[in-house]
Formats: sequence, C-alpha cells, structure tokens
Amino acid sequence: MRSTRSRVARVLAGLVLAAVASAAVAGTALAQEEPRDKAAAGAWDGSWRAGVDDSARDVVSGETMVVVAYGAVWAILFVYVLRLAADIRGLRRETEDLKRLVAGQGGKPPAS
Amino acid sequence: MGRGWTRWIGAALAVAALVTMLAALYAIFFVAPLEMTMGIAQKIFYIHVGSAMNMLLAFGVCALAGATFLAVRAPRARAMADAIGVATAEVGVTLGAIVLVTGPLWARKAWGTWWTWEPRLTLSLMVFLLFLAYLALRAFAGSDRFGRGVAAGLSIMGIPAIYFIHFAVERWGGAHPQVVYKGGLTVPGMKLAFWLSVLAVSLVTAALAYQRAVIETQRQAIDALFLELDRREGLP
Repeated sequence: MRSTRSRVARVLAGLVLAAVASAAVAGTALAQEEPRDKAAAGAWDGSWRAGVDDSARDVVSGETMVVVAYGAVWAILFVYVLRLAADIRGLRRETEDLKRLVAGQGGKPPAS
Repeated sequence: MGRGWTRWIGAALAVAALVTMLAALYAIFFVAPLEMTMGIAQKIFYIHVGSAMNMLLAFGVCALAGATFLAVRAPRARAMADAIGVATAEVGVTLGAIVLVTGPLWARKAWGTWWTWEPRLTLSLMVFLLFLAYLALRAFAGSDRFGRGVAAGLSIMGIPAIYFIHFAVERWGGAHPQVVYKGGLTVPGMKLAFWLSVLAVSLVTAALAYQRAVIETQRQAIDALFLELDRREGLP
C-alpha cells in the first residue's frame, strides 16, 4: 500500500519536475523578443556585443526591474522553504504510519 | 549527531542567513551608490552574482557527492553522499531559478535584450537543465540503487560545464562584465554590498542544503525501516 502510494508520489514529482524543465525552456524562448535586426537576433557570433541592443535599454524602468527581481528572489526562496516544510510534515506522517505498523505487529514502537 | 544538535545547527544557520540577508539588503539599497550608466537597475547585480556563485558551488558539491556515491562501498558513506547530492542539487536549482529570473531583468536594462546566446548564459541554462534532469531522475528512481547511480553519473557530467561557466568571460568574452576579482568593482560601497550579498546567499544556501540533507537522511532511515517491516511480514 505504502510502496504504491510512494511510487505514485515519485512519478508525480518527476512529472512536475519535467513540466518545470519544459516551462523553463519555453519561458526562455518566449523571453526572446521579435528581432528588429536579424543580424543582432541574439546568436553569438564571437563578439562580446552580440545580441546587445543599446537602443532598447532605456525603454524599461529600472525601478520596475529591481522590484520584480527582488520580489522573485523572495518568492522563489519562500516556495522552497514551504516545500521543505511539506517534506517535514510528510516525514512525520510516515513516522506515525511506521509506529502503527510496528504496534500492529506486536513490537515496540520506535522512539520518534 | 543527535537530533538536538541537528536542530540547533539548522536554526543557527537559518538565523545567520536571515540577519546577513537583511544586512546585505541594507548595504545594497542604502550604502552602495547608484551606478551612473544603469541607475537603480544595477542593484539586481548583487543578488544575481551572489546566487550564480553559490549555484555553481552547490552544483560542484553535488558532483563531488555523486563521485563519492559511485566510488565508495560503505553503505553509510553512500547514503550520506546521496543525501548531500540531492540536497545541493535542489538548492542549486533553486538558486539557478533566481539567476535565470534576475539575469534577464538585468540584461534588459543593461543590454537592451532579455537574452543573448553568449557562452556564459547558454552554459548556465544548460547546467540548470542538467541538474533539473538529475532531480527528475532521482524522483523517479526512488530508493533504487541503479537509478541513484545513474543520477550520480549525470551530476559528474556537470563539472566541465561548471568550469567553463566560471572561465567563460575570460576565455570567450561575451556580454558579461569584467570579472569582479580582476578589478570589475572598485567603489568601496559597492564592494561592501557585493561581498555582503555573496555571504548572505552563501548562508542561505548552507541553511537550505543542511535542512534538505537532514530531511533526506531521515527519509532514508524511514524507508529502511519500512523495508525491514515488509521483509519481516514476508512481503516481496
């Protein structure tokens, strides 16, 4: 029962990670703007300025970029900390399952 | 190590990380002067570079743990290497996500484009996806030894890319600025903000990786106990 449940959980985790990987690649692709000039479309041609478009630099607000960047940093870290907390809750549940199983076998429950 | 010590170390690392991160944010926004060309958008640089450095460090440790997992035979050492490997890979991927979000935001203002296929950017994306694949493989493999061995081998493949990312700017140029330790940052306030950011992200990395390794170790112990129970019940 437990092994089936954990196998399903593993498959789901793998699928979620695969989806994240696909989203990362797709997100990177979507982040590319329609090239104004095919020569400066972003393909690295060996020069250090390849893909750089100085005319587009001042179009965006620096304040917006900073707020989005630092907001994203905190959001990403927060999501990971939440994930760790969920892992700890999962471990506690499994420990309780284990105790019940051991008790059902007439053995002494392990110290938590 | 007892559970008390484990908790104490985890809590101490978390508090140190939080305090240093707040100090770094203060230095970034109130001590470091505004950069003349980029203005306030340059402040993304501090957290971006700190995250990138620690991402490479985490992936490097993961690769070393993978090599240890494949090289040693002692079960406890293998289990520990495995726990360190998965912990550093997860934290590295988390930092990689930060690098890949903050980088394009900085680049849009600095270079006028979200992305350019220059060597450092391309290699960073590749290494990020490589370790994402490592985590997916680990998630599918579960406690299977062969699957974990393949994942360990995959992590070792990241070592050359990590080396090339580090030296990409020096060897092949690209749009990235000059390397910091070779004179890329000269203003004292900026230097302070930069190194405080690196320290803060390092402590965040250590705190998260430590906590994740502890969770993985406990999960291994619980899995072993379940397997032992199944064996006693005569289950396959």
